[in-house]
Amino acid sequence: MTESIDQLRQDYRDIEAPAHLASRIRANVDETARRPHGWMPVAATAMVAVAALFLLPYLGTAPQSEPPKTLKPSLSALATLRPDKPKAPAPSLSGLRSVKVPKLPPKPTLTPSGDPQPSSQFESELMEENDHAHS
Amino acid sequence: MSLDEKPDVELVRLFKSGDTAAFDAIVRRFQDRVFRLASVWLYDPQLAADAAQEVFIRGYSGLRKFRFRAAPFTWLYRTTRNVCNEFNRARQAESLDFELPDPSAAPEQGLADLETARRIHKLLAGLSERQQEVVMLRVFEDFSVKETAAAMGCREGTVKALLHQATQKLRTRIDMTGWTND
Repeated sequence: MTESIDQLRQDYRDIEAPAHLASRIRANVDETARRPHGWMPVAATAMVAVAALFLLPYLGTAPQSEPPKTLKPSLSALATLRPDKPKAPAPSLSGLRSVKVPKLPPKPTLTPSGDPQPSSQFESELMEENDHAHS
Repeated sequence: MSLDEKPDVELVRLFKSGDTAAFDAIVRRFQDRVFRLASVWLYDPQLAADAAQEVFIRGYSGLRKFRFRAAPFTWLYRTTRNVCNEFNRARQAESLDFELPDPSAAPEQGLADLETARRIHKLLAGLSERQQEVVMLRVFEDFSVKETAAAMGCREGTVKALLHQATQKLRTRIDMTGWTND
């Protein structure tokens, strides 16, 4: 540390607080300590209580004195509404499998003459009638 | 043992237990140190006195919750730093073209103190904020390395490194400005 810094430090230590500083601090601290801090929440509570006492009689009558208002539902409220629809029974896949369907007739096959072979008694009769009609 | 002879920690302990005379002893013991710090940071004796007063008013409520994790003066030092920063900000907000106080208006002792505070303030102006802090604590306030580290919230190695850089810069600045004690 150089001599200049040492000298600077010595000058720094010669700085003294003003003589009246301690008494000023004492006076201010006393004032701060004396100043009541607790009255603010008490006053606020009392004011709220008084206001509530004044408002209490009006609170019961207020809904009766007011004219009935038509309610306007908001769009957002309407959007949340769901119409009550009866539920349609949805068939299950397993239920569909169990439904019995009549068998389809076999595919008609061509006869050697090129005419389709009758697949049932009704068809053979119909074919015979046609033959008679053509002959 | 009178109050003025008791150790710092014991004074704070007494004050915490409700002994207001112990608070007066704390003020007597630390007022010069707090005022010196404020004089250098604010370079205005009137403002420094106001700042010192504010520090002790805060100390009146703050030291009641003191947990003895550091030395009591470390707490006062931090509070002084905060109060001076607030005062400087308020002063800058009030008037941007702030003028240094007129030395001729100060009494003789006040004049010498003001001159010293201004010299130190000007010398420190070339250092970073951390370097300024380490010089104020370690060089001017005679804090140990450990106490300085605790006050600044850093490691002891950081304090040593900052002090080394700061001392070199200070020497250069003193040589450049040709500062002498006349």
